[in-house]
Amino acid sequence: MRTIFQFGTCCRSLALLAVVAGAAALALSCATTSAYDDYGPDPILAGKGRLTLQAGGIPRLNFYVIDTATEKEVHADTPLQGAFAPSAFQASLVESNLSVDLDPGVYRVVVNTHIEESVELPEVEVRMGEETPVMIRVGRFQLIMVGGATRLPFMIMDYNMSNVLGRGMTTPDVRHFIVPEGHYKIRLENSSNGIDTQRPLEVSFGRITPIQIGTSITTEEPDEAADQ
Amino acid sequence: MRQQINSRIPGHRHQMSLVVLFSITASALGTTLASSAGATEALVIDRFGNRHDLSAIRIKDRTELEYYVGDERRKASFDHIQKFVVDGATGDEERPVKVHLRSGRVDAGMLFTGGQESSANQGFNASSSGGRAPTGVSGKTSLGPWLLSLDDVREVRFQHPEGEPAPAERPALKAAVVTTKGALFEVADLLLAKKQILRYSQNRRKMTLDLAKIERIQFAEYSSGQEDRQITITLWGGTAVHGSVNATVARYTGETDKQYARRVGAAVTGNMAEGLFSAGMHEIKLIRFHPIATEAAGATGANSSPSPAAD
Repeated sequence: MRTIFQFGTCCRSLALLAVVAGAAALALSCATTSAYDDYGPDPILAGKGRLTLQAGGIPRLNFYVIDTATEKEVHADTPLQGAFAPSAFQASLVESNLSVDLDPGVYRVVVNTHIEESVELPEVEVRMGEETPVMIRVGRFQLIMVGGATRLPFMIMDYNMSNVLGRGMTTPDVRHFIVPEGHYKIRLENSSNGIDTQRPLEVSFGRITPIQIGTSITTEEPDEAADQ
Repeated sequence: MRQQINSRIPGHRHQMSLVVLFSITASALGTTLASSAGATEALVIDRFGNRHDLSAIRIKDRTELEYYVGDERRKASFDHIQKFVVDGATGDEERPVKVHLRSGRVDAGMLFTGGQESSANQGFNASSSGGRAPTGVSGKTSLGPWLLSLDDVREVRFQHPEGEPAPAERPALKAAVVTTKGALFEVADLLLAKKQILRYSQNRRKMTLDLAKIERIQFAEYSSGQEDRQITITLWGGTAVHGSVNATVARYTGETDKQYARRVGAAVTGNMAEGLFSAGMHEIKLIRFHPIATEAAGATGANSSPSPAAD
């Protein structure tokens, strides 16, 4: 009886040893394959914290970061072209610029959009060794031209069409315009193509709002008289 | 030996359960604190007169209210609002609204509710313009999540923490404005594009600056057809900032006369003794602000001849 008990204890010890050895081997194998080579984000730099902008699937934004203590700009990146640039288009594979490693502190984050209004976060605290995700309430819209018209200028206006908030240019390529979440109007007038239309635009976080404009569309409502 | 192990296990289990319980409590408390930070409580009265007590209220999925006063689009954070009342007929897309701010000011304007088309379950609608932005009022009640179309809301009263000071109104700014023709105007309640904010560009970045921080803005020489004008901003602390502002007089395609006049001719507005002041960015040479504390003394020597651009 005692022999059987000792044998069972021995087997249990061996099994436990095997599990520990397996776990150690797994940990060593993971460590030796350098997990940051190809997959996942880079490690946070020593002594810094990471600020990550979450923009609902938008990979790149024009933004800058100001240290609230010194009022000095500590980071700025403006990879996106303006809305009126005729050569801009949406690339299918782009590297995100929405993460930045900063010294611990409190920062003001300003995200520029394709209209004159920016999205501003007045106080974002970045802690050492931690990732600080912040949500940027912006969305995207896309103008789809039907009927051959390609590069046409248009205006982005507020919802009651009082003020011009920005200008844009349609392109033959896919292009997303980034604006703060909300309700707008699009005004596009081009005599040579016979296009004179205004469309309501609802931009929400995490979505791309498509607006289809073109000469082949016959179901448009007649334009309301503007406040000429 | 086995007895010792058995006697240890319950204690160990007890410790483990305590650790697990503590960690769950801590995480729940942390989550609660994190979620309550910045969450506003409010009392919502719908058009049937029902009262709903909400926490973490959001309107159109945001913590600010967007409304129009005349031609001006305004945004007020919930921290600044005491209550707002929606009038008009249910189903109208555009409804009159009175926004009572905590500073005591009452804004009477228009609120876009989305009308009857707005619903609690707006999703992607291929026949319309695409993804619909949220238009409702959402929050949490003691029974769970809560959502109502803004079209069905009659009144929202925000509840702010007791003892929290109400945000003060920005004091009106007075400034001496010199035009490119050499005329000098003493302007009260000076605004740039209807706001106390200067929007300028600097190295492809769009920057904003509170006008209360600025001592003067000097504009570079303007030539006809110029789209951007270089400016030098001097802050009250003496710091100089360089940038450029949009000063184009070109008319955009599709822009109406009124929109053009508002964008180009009324970039700088204010009040004078003779009436309203209005000028474009292309017409300004210098804006020199008076200190807010001594503005009463500084305004006595105003040399305000009638403005050709004044309305």
